[in-house]
Amino acid sequence: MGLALQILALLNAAEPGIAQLILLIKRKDGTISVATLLDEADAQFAANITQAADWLNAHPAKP
Amino acid sequence: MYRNRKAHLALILALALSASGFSCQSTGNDPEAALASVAKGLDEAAHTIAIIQTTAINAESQHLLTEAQTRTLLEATTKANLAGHQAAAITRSISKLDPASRTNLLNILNPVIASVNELVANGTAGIKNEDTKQKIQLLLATLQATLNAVHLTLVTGGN
Repeated sequence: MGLALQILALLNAAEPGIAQLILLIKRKDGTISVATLLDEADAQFAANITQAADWLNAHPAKP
Repeated sequence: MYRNRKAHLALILALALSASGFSCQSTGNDPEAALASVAKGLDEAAHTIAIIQTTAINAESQHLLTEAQTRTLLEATTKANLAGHQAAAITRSISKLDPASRTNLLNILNPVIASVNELVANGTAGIKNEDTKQKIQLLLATLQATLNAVHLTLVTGGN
């Protein structure tokens, strides 16, 4: 685990924000129920859809 | 120098993921474990798409991406989000990954996987800012890997 954290620190220095993504993936490893995972996924998909729609509506394609 | 940095980042990412234990777990003939693996993959995909969208929108606001480039990404992620929402609904309705559900999920996810593959191959070609290009390439590759892992589970897992 220590080595992983060192690697993450090195990676984050080179590419800020990437370590957050990797830790997010690791957090899900085998400790959360299927129902909870799906609830989180659904909520995130819905938020993503709203975010994208807001931007697309505010920036219509030019003819 | 750009190629060396990109290779360096890719190697570091591979090492970090390996060291952190992120791997495609074999679900063998366990349809319940396969279901859990699919749920995990959907959750990870949703969060990765969120980061892709936010990165693209922020980059466009700083004129590091054009509106057209951002629109292409967001239209693709919208389709992925809608498919993910459908897949989550199917996954929620079953207690294990049976053959019929596997087929339904594959029918939903295969077009998304094809779309993401296309983005990985060609979607960032016109991005002039190298940092933005690399970030989006890395995020798309992460999403591709997650979807491929779900695909593998659907094809080989369950009963």
